[in-house]
Amino acid sequence: MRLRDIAMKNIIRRKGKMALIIIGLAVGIATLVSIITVMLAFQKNIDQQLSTYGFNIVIYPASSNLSLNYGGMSISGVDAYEVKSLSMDDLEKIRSLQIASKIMAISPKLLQPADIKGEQALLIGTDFKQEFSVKKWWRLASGKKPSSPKEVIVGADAAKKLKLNAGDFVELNGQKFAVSGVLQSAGSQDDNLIFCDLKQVQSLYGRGKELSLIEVTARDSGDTDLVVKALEKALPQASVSSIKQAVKFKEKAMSSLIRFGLTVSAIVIIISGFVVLTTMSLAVIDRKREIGIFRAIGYRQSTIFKIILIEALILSLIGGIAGYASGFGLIYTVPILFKKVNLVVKPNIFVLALSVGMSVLVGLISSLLPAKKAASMDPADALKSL
Amino acid sequence: MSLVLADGLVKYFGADETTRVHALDGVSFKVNRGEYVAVMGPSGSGKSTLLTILGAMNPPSSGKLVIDDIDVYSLSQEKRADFRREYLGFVFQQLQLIPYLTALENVMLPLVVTSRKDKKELAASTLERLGLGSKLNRLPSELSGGEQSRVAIARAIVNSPPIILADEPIGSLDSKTGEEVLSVFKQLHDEGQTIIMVTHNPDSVKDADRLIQLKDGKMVANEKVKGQIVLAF
Repeated sequence: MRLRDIAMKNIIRRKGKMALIIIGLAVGIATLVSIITVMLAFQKNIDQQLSTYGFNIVIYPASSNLSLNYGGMSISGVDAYEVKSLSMDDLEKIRSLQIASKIMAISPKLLQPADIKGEQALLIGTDFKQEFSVKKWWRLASGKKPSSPKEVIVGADAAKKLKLNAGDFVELNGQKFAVSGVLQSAGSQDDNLIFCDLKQVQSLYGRGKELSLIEVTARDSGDTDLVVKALEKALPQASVSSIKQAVKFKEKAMSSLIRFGLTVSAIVIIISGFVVLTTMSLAVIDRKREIGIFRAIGYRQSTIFKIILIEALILSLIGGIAGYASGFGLIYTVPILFKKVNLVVKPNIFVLALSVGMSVLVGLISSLLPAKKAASMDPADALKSL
Repeated sequence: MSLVLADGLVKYFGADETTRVHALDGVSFKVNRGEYVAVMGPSGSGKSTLLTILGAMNPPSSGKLVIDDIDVYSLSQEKRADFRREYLGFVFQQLQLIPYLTALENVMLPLVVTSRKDKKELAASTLERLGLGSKLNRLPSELSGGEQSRVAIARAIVNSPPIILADEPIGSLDSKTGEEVLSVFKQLHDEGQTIIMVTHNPDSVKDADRLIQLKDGKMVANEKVKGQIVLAF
C-alpha cells in the first residue's frame, strides 16, 4: 500500500463528492474543448474556402491606368494596351525564387477586349491546364475541356450575352475558334469572360510576351504572406496582393467569436476551480477525524498535503479526459445532427493534452488551500472530536 | 533510567491569568521501561489532556516531557510526527479504524510512510499474532467489536514502538469483549511492552503495575496496584 492507494480508496469511498469535483472540472474543460474544436474546424473550413478561391495571389502592373476589376482588385492597362510591366520573362523569375517550392501553381494571363458578333467582350488568354487544376469548382454546363489551342471556353454570362453554345464558332480578330464548352455560373468574374489559349491571344493581338496579370497559388494558405513578400521583392515593378479580403473578414468574425468563447471558457473554468476548492474543503473537514489519526500515528504535515494533492491529481486527470471526451463529442455530433453545418471535426492530440493539462492545473491550484488546511490540522484538536 | 519523564506538566487555556482554566496543573511522574501504568480520573480531571501531551501532539503550557532522553517538545512539528511514528503506538477510544481500508491496510498505515520493504508481511504477521490471520482482508465493518479492537492494537504495535498509549480502549465494548482486549494488553505487557492506559473503568486497572489518579488537573495518587484499588477522587 502506498499513499496513492490511500488517496484512491478515499476517492472510491466518497464517490458523490468526488464525482462533483470531476463534473465541475469536466464542464469547464468541455467548454474549452468545444471552443477550440470549433475554432480548429473553422480554420480548416477557411483553408478549404481559400483553396476554392483558386489563385490566392495576383500580380499585376503597378503603373498603368486602372480599368478592370478582377476578383475585387483593379487590374491596370486593359483598355489602353499599356501592359508593359509584366511579361513572360517574369514567370522565370518567379520559378527561380527560393520560395518556389511553396508555390503550387502559376498562371499567367492576358486580358484583351474583343469584338465578337458586334458586341464588346473580354477575352482572357490563359493556360487551360493550370486553370482547370486550380479552379476545381469549374463545371462545364455543356461541351468539354478544350483539347487544342484553337478552342475557347465561355463563361455562363458571356455565353448568354453572345448567344454562344458548345460546338459554335467565334471569330477572334479574323480567326475562327471553336467553343469547346460553356461554364456553369460560378457567381464570379469568370462568368463574363471568354477563355482562350494565352499564346493565341498574344499573337492574335500582337501583344508579344505581354501579360496583364499573373496569378499564383501558395501551397498552404499560411505561406501566402511569405510568398507575397518574396514576389514583391522579385518583381519591384509590379503590385502583388492576396485575395484574402473575404477570408479575412471571416477570420475577423471568427476571432471575435473565439475571444467570446475563450472568455466564457475562462469564466467556466474559474467556476470549476471554485467547485473544486469548496468541495475539497468540505471533504477535508469531513475527514478531520481521519487526518487526526494519520497525524497521530506519525504522518508528517507534508504527507497529509501530498495525500490531498494526489487525490486532486487523480480527480483532475479523470475530469480532464471526461471534459475532452464530452466537449469533443458535443461538437462532433453537431454536423451529424445539423446537416447544413459544414464542419470538419477531428480529434486532436494537442487539444487532449491541453485539456488534461488545464484540468490538472486548475485541480491542483484549487486544492492547494484545502490541502494546506488539512496538513495544518492540529492532531490533538482533530482527536478531541473522537 | 526511566523511559518517560513528565516534569511539572501544566496546561491551561486562556491568556488572562484571572480567568485561566487549568486542564493540567503541575503533573510529574516517571514511567519505567516495561511498566504498565493506568491513569484514572473523573471527567474533566485532565486525563485526555495528559494523554495528548504524552502523545507528542499537544505542547504543555509549561513543564517538560522527556522520552528516551529526548525533550519531545523541543522538536519541530514534523520531527514530532517522526517521533510519534517511531516511539508511540496509539489505541484510540472507539478504536478509530479507517473504514475504507481492510484490516491489513489499517495495520499497514504506520508503515506506509517508512522505507521498510516488508510492510505487508509485517502487518500480516502482527495480525496473525493477535489471532486475526484469517481476516486480513475484511473491512472493519465486517469484524466484531473484539476483532476491531485487536486490529487497532495491531496497528499500534506493528512498528514495535517503545510505548503504547491507550485511551479508554474498552470504553465502548461489552464486558466480555473488554476482558478479551485487556488480556491482549496483559499479554503485550508480559512480553515487555511499556503501556500507558487512560481509563475511568476500575476493572481496566487490575493488570497494571501502577495507577496514577488525577483530579481537577492535579495528580492525587501515584501508587503500585496491589489487589483492591482505592480511588482517591
